[in-house]
Amino acid sequence: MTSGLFTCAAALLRVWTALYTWRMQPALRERRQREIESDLWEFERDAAAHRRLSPALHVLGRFVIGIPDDLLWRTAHATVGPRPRMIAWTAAATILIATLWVVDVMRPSQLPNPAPLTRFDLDFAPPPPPPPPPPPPLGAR
Amino acid sequence: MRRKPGSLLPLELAICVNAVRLKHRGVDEFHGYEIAKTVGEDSDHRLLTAYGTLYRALARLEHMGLLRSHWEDPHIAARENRPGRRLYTITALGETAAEDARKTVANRSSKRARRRLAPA
Repeated sequence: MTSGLFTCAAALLRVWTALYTWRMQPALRERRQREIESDLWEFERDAAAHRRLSPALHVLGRFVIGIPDDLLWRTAHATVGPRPRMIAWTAAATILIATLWVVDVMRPSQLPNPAPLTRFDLDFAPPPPPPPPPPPPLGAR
Repeated sequence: MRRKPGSLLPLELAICVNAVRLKHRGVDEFHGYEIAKTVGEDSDHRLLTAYGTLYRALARLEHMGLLRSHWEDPHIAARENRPGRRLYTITALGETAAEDARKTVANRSSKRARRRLAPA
C-alpha cells in the first residue's frame, strides 16, 4: 500500500524529527525518533486507518498540527546540557565587556588646564608704500 | 495552553481514560499509535492526535507518574521485522486520575440534566 506520496510524507516527518531533536540529549533524541518510526510503521500496516483519509494526507496532517508541540517540547528540554550554558556565559561576558567599554568612552575626559594667555606687545611698522608707476615711454605720444 | 499545577489537559485525561479502558479489555501495555487510535475512536476527527502533541502528552504523563514506559524486548521486534515499540502502562495514580475525571464528567452531566428538568 506504500505509495510515493506516503513515502514522501514519511520522509518529511523523519527529516523534521531529525531537525527538532538535533543536538538534544542522545537518549531523548533517540527515544522520540524511534517512537515516530514505530508509529509510522504501525500506521502503514493498519488498513482500518486508511478508510477516512489518504495515508499521505494523514501523516502530513498529524505532522503539521504537531509542529508547535514539537517546538515546545524541544524548548522545554533545550536548557539541559553544557552547550547552552556556555553560550549564555559567553553572551553575558561579551555584554559586560561592551558595557564597560561604552561607559569608559562616554566618561568626560579630564584634560590638563591650558597655560595662561600671554600678551604680546609688538610694534609692527606699517608696510612701505608701493613704488610709483614708471613714466610712459616717449614713442607713445 | 496554561494549566493549574496538578491538573490534566483534555488529551491527557483522554489518554488515561482510554488506557484504563484498554486495561479492562486485557491490554495492560500499549504503544503510542495504539493509544492514539483508541483516543481517536471517541472523536469525530478524521486525523489521529498529531505526533508532537501525542508524544509530548505521553512524556508529560510519565513525568507526572500517571504512566510508566519501557522499550519492548528488541528480539520480539526483530522477529516480527518491525521497529521496536515504546510500551506504556497506566499506574495506580493514573487510574485514580481517570476515575476522578470520569466522576467529574458524570457529575457535570447529571447537574445539567437536573437543571434542564427543574421547573422554571
